[in-house]
Amino acid sequence: MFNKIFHKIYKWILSVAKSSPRDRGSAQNSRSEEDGSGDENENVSESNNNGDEENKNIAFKNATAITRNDSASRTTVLKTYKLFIKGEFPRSESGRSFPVMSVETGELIAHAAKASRKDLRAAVEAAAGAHPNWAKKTAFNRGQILYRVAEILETRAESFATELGRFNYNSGGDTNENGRTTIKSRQGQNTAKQEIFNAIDCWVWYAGWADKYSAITGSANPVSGPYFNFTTPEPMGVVGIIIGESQTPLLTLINRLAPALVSGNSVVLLAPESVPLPAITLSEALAVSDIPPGVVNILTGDTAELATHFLSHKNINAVDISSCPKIGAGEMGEEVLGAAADSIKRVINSSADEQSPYAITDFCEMKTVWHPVGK
Amino acid sequence: MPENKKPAKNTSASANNKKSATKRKKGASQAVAANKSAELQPAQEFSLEYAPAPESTSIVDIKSEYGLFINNEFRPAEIEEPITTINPATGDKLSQVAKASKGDVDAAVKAARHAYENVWGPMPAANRAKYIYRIARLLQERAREFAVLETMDGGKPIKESRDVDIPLAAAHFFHHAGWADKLDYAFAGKTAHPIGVIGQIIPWNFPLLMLAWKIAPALAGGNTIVIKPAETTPLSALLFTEIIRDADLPEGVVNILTGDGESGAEIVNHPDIDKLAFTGSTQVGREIQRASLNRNNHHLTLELGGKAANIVFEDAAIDQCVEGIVNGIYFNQGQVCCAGSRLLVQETVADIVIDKLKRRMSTLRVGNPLDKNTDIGAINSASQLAKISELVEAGVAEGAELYQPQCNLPNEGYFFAPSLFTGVSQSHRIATEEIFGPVLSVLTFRTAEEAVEKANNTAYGLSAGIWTEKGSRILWMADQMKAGVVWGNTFNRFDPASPFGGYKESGFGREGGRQGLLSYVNLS
Repeated sequence: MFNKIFHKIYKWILSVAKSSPRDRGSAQNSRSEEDGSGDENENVSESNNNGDEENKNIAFKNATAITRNDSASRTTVLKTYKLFIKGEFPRSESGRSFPVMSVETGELIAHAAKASRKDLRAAVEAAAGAHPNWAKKTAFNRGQILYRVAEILETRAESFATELGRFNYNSGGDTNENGRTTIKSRQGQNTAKQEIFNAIDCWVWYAGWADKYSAITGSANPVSGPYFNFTTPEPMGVVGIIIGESQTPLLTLINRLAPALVSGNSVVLLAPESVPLPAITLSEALAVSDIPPGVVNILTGDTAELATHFLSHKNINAVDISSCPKIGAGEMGEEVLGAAADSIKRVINSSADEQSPYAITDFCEMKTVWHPVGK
Repeated sequence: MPENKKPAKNTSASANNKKSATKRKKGASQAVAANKSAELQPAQEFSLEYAPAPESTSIVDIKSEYGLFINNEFRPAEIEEPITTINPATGDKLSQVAKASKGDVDAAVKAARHAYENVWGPMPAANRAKYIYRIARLLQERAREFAVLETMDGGKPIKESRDVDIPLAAAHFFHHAGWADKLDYAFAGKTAHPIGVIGQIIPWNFPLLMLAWKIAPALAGGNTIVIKPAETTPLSALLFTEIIRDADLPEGVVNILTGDGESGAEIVNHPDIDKLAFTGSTQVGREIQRASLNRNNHHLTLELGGKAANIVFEDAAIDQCVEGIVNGIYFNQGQVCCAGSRLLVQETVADIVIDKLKRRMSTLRVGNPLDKNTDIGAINSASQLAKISELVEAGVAEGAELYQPQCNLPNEGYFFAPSLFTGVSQSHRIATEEIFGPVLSVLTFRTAEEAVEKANNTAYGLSAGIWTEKGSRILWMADQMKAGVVWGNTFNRFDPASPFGGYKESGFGREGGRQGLLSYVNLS
């Protein structure tokens, strides 16, 4: 009985999935990866016109007759990259996606979900809901939870490096007239590996600040009068982070995300448009960590389209554009940034690759408390 | 022996301020009688009619006109469009000042740039410190003169300009002087560098104090300055030019441009200004932020409006807190961005607090700001008075109940009686909009959570007050407040060592303390 229902639901899901043009696109590009390293074997295989879903369907019907392929002839399982909102992986409510191409070969790597304004709203809602409990945790506890993320990243370092390599994100590049970085191909896997190691080390560095940064940046103030007076940094609330294009997309992302989280902010992060996929892979690590759902939400999509909504959304307390290369041009044009002024939103525009306790307090408010001293 | 009588009356006046429960003004009995729920002792009939005790204005020498102060010299404005500044308590013209336009701003910025690159920037930090110390000392020496001038030009009671504005302004210079050669110790693991030329625009509610809040940390950081005092209160800044000269501050380090909003816009839009600092309304703050998109986050600081909640719990020391409420909203005629303009009282004590508050309000003396006994002086300008009147009318129209003690307002000048609204709901304009006048809106709450919800239910976030005798509750409430300054069992305290600034639409950046210093340096 239960099985029958399950079977029906499964069939229905398949039919829906098949009707999505985005999925058809990625299915046609099933790829074989001989040795798992990927980036040296970028061949698009012509192996199977039926597509993955159909294969699965057959496999289901003949569940008892599983054939084991050797690795050479195996068809890889491709990942569907979706959004990361409230600890879940939804597609864009708009049903939109966009192809992510290899810069070097021009071939399709995968599709990324093209988030809409509504997706942003859902992410902000999730972040606003998650913020109080995240901020309420003890600093020591937050530090441990963040450290745990580094542990998880470390075990996935290889696959991150593989993925970064396969996407051809790379070192060395130029800036074109729009202030955008043109991405050139990576020199083998070493650079990618170095990037993920740097990113993990950055994460560990910030995790350790959780129960220290306020001792460094806060103060007990010697005022002229019988008052106890102290100043402490506290999180701003919901922080939007727009990641610009970078030669080290994952490192840049983590270098902006980690300092925002340390103090107890929750984050809605927009991955760089041309390099959106590592952010989603990162979210898979975050999803299995102890970071509560909604504390980090990650969107992929059209930066120009979404940036304006980030800057005008009144429940976003601050927007970080530090990694966006050129202010006043392109997606960070005057109209887009000007929207921030409507609610005196903090627009954080500091050094993108600085690693500093002051990067933590860039995402903080300073609160000063007075109380009389008396018998 | 009138000399002996006056202090005696002053003493009884201050005793009365502190222990208002037993004494009140004749003629205010109606107000108390209306509140039958109050179980207060019948008030003694006690006259608070004092002989006038005005401060002499002979100490102040106001010139008939002033130019723009660039490179330590006054020069006429490029385009002659003088602005008249008046005494708001009398309506009399005090002087006329120049209005800076584009060319003037450019000249001032050039002077500041030259001083930054050739004199002030390269100067050993210890020398910079000593110049700032000189300014602090000279201000202290001429405190009385500044206090009288401040009150004449701005309308604030002499006791406030004498006891708060001027001493605090001097303290800001003295405190920051010491920072100038200790910046290497201020920011862990970082070296602090000057930013360059700073453009500063300040408001009319604390003219000299705001000038000190802006100039002192900027000088300590090694920067040079182009500053514009408010249109209606330029005189103390112009007197400050004498301090600059007497201190031998090098030419071009501090340039003072008088003018109006258009002059301010020229500063905001000048391409060679490295950092902007503004204190004023949220509305103007928005325009400045919109015009400053290319600045990074440390290079624009805004200290804007507020609608602070002053929260009274049932276990509060009520008499002490009534004094705090009065100080919170009637200090400087309520023309204070961090004024405690929303009183949130726990329901159980609402009646007694409101009754005591009304009694206390009836003892407030409104009138000549130069009189040492005056508690509430003149509203700064006709337009501000019109704004206050408009919002109070809106409060009445929306159904809130207005209380004003009987008081004789002067016939001349701009005055507004201390006002209190009960029956206010959160959606009323008087509960959401910044009035910037002596008008208090009272709301009630039952639980601490409700107090937090209501206190934070505002677009602003500059300050908050909490009154309770329970220590853990003070700290919990302080933690919950979305506000940059939280006063527990006190209100409206300021100190150069204590950072001040807002959350949300009250602006960003801090002034005062080490955190305020960060607004005036680049770290590397």
